[in-house]
Amino acid sequence: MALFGSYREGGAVRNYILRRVVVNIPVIWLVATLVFLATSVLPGDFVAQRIAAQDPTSTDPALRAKQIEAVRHDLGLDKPVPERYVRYLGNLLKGNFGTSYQTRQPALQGMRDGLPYSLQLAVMSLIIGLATSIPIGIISAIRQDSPIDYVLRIFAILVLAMPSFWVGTMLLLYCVKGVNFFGLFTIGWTIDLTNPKLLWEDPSSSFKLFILPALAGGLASAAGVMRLLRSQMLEVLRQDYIRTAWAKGMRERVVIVRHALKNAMVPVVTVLGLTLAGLLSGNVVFENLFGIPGVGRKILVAIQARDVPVVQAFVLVIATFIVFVNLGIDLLYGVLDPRIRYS
Amino acid sequence: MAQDQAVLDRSTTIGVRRSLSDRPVLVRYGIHTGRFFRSKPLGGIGVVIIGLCVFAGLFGNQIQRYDPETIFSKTNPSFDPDLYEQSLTDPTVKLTARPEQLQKGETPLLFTNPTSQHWMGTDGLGRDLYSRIIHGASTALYVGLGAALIATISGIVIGLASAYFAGTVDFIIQRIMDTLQAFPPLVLLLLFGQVVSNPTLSVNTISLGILGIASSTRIVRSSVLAAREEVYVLAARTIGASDVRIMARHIFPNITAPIIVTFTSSIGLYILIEATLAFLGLGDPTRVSWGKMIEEGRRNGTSDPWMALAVGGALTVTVLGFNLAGDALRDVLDPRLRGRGGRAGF
Amino acid sequence: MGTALSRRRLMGGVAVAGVGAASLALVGCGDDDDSSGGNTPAASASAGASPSAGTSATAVAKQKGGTARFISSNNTYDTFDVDRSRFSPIGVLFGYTNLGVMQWDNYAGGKIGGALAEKVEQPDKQTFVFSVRPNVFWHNKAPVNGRAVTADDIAQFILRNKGGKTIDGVDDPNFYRKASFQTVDKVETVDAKTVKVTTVKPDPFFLNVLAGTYTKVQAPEAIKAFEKDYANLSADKIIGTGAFALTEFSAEGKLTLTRHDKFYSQVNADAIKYLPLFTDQAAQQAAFEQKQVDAFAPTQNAVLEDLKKRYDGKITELKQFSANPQAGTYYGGAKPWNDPNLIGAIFRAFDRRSLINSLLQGKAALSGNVPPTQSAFGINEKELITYPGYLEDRAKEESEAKKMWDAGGGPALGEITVDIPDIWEGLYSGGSALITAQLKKVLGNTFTAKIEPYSTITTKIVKQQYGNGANNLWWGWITDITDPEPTLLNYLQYNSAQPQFQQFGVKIDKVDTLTNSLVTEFDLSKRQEGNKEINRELLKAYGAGVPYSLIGVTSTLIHNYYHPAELAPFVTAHQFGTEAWFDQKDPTWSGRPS
Repeated sequence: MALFGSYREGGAVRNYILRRVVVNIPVIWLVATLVFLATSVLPGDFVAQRIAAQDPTSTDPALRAKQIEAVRHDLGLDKPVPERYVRYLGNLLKGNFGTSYQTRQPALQGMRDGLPYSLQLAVMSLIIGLATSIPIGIISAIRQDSPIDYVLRIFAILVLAMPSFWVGTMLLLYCVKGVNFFGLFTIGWTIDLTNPKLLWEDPSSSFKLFILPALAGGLASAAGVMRLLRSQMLEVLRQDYIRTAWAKGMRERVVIVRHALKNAMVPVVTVLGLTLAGLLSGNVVFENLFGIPGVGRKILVAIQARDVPVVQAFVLVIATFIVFVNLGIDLLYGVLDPRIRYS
Repeated sequence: MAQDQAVLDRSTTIGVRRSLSDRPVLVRYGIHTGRFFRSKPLGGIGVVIIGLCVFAGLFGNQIQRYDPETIFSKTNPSFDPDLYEQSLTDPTVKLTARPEQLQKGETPLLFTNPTSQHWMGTDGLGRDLYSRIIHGASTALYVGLGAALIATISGIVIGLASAYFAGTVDFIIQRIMDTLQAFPPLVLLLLFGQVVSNPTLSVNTISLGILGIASSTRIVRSSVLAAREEVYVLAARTIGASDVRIMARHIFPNITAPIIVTFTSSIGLYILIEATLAFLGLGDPTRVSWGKMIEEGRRNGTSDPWMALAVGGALTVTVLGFNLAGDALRDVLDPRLRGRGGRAGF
Repeated sequence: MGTALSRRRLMGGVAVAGVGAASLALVGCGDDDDSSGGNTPAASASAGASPSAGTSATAVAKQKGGTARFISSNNTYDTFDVDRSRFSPIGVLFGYTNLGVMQWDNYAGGKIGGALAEKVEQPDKQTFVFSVRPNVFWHNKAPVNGRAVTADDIAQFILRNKGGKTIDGVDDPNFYRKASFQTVDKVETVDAKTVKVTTVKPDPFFLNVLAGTYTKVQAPEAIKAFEKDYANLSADKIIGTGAFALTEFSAEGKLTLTRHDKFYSQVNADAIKYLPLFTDQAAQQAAFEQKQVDAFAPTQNAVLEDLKKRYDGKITELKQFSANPQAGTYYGGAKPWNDPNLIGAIFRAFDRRSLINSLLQGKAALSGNVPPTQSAFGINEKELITYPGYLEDRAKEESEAKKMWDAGGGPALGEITVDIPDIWEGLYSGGSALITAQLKKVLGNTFTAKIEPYSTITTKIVKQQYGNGANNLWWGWITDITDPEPTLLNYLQYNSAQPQFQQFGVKIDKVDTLTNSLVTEFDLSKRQEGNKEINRELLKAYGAGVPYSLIGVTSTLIHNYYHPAELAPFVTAHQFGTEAWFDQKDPTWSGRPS
């Protein structure tokens, strides 16, 4: 009976992990194929871009045809698509992601350069997100339907509804301009936009720059986490063991933190993992706005320049990463909640 | 009968006394609605916002004050006829004079503040902002509803199939969904926009819908997997109901709650993503879109933030409406959060 | 998205993004003490060719020191072999690093002076004798290692461009200036410091070619060492004689140029830094307000006015015409656009003033086929507004357009597509909707806008895919103007014997005759009148394949401490070393981050 599969008993955790890893191989192959196909049909290819982008009207057609042919040959684009596909897969198996058309450097170089910036932004956003969402989520749940619950929920939903690109712009401009509060004090500081530094290179300058996009991004993801945490807490608080804990006369803090929060965090971990994975692939909007040379901006530039090897390499690496983050979440889930069986 | 039991279960899940079912349908709906508004004031606000938005979307042409493409102008008090005459023979005047000194006759009303003629002012080309915000509502609704429908319907079909056929089919479908989810969403949309090269509104709606399929499939599938373990399904099985009948009559009605909740909550998200795409210049350039309008207004930065604020407000409120309604619906429909009285109840 | 528009802004907004700054045209103070530049017919002749904003000459001594910081947009580079490049970022870069044989001493004034050649003599109309400047040295990079420049360097440069071959004798179509150098008959090195060039026929434009953006001299040893590897972009491959040496290069836009200490004249700035990828107006504004960059070109009047008010007396606004006129192109040699009624109707339905006043916020000027930046060679606006398409009487224009459209069977054409470059729409958000709505309102057909990358549009132009059986057009920026005089461009585009003409295909006999005679005409006033006549003929043919309409005006804000060089396409870069400087005594200099 197909519909009613049965759970296999037994704690074959290692088997399970192994199976999940193997299962991900066709996923990565699918991603690679899709990326290859998508980039093969991109209109206005890199060659045309190179040859034609600059002078729309001043060209001798015959000469241009010759130029295009020469560049195509150089880049190996004169070969048929199936042949290129086989070569592409072969190279991938050898760990060779190709060479950027634009910079003539290994296609993954840009990712290596950009990752520290994207990583720092992601971690800072995540810290801000957690630091705000967890207390708000708890307070909102234990004071359900009180005025403070309503205020916090409205705040969360409002933040979730605001377009982050707009919030980011306003944060940047008002911070540079300085916002005066009733003539009492002014909030605002200098942001070094031209020379983005990492925290371990120049902590102060780096913090002043990264805190703004981290705030805008972190709060947006916090709103989602807060709402999830609140509903989980509400469900957990109704469980019998919580009632037992109350009945035993335990202090509120102990009940909330030890008993309720621990269990409510399980699905929250999932969301956090997904958020982290998303943040790692770079934040195109913020990286552009704040001049952060992260992964997101590099991939956007590559897409616009039709730098196919770079696009292929970036998407493939990010997708692989996300696949394994998902795997990690599943496994962690099992650790946090023993009821979930590895099946 | 297991079937009846399920129906009874459902009626109590909405927390409504059974005696209501004796009343006429319209009255019943009225009472339901009244109860919803009273018990979920935030959700009520959300429903009102959605109603306003739908109204604006459907009757934009009736409630607009002007055609959204008309450029308004006023007589130009700064016009300098002598300077203009001079500029006709000496182009360098164009580089020294202020632009409005050389605009003969009328000058367009660019970025004006709200007036009695233009309730929300004008945009960067001199068009009535109120009318454009009204027309932006239909774009937002089109994308939000369209993408949510595509994602949800495909999710139901694929999710049911995946859970039903299980085995190899399930495996393959799940791997395809994994693939879809493995792509960073914005990057995928960027790539998609470049491949199509001319992203009309429908193209963007479809690609957003496709992106949403993975998560809605997951929700449907896991709901099915959970529902089929329920006692009433076992009971139906025992009395010899076929798989198809069980799927249609017993499982599907019991997974509608998460589907409705996901559907409603995702609309706001799709509206926001469409705005982001339009903001990034990847939308349909000829459609009135809030994202594009925010981008146009945002260029004024802190110097003249009115337009960005006004349109940003419209977008925020709309998304807020869908989120509030989605939250309230989840509270009402999700049995796990069903009211049981007491401190933790609703 | 935002990123895309900046590349065109680099090309389009004259030197706005590329050179990083607009500047007052420092007319009259461009003469170097030891530059006795050649006063040749074409060069001095075009004096007064193009208008410029300010003419205030500074008598203040230029101070040494300071590092310039400019915004580097999403630039793409094709190759570091300038002879085989035509990407404007390369044009700007080589303006800093390499000298040409000649250079624009004053672009607005049309004055060509000597660069590598200290002076040039013309014993007759077909002979040019160049004397190499005595104190010029190559940058100190291997394999050239800072040796002095010789006559042979110049001779080899001319021969390489004329031959269009790589060292191993292979014909390379990427020698883009090959056609311009065919005028050369013989090149002789008279002695170590003298080169004699004989031309095939009298050529009034040979020195213009030598002062061009891409005709920069590279060291023969460097070509020998790097020729096969020039596409592999790295700082060591650019070896020049210019005021700055490229010391750091990354493709994403981080460039450092350091003063060349053995330059023949004083180089004011210590270095120039291009800061990577800033594509967002808000980010640019924030960086400018904090003096992290020296110049900023706001697109919005509100931002411009606000900044001018907030930084009153601390910043200066510079206005200049954009290098790229706005127009479209179509193929007029076949249906449907070979019908003057149809193309004329579109030409007239197009509301240029509405576009200028609302979309460009008043910052633009009407343009015929010779833009106002070459006003000495084109008809003035007073005459221009008597031609259909430019009339002040909009109602008449629209009713005539509709009549012509109906007469040509326009309504039967059905839907008409207008391709718009993505970066144009990115800069002028809402422009494509405005244009199509205008045309639809006047002519009645459905006009749809299609946003395309420039590469797609260019490919279609070359393949004659605008018109020629298809109901479509495109609209955006066309090729930038890099010469104060339009004679050569008019010849290349509108003379039916030229290959570029094939893209447009609107043959006008009178234009053929005029362009043929003007390319060999030494008399300036005859060239001016002739080009005006060409302009009139083209307007009568509704643009003859290139329906011009307007040219933008760019406002650039600079901090007062910064004194830029003359602002003209690419000229700003090569004048930067000697003309631009930082006033470190100016009060605004303090607080500039080091």
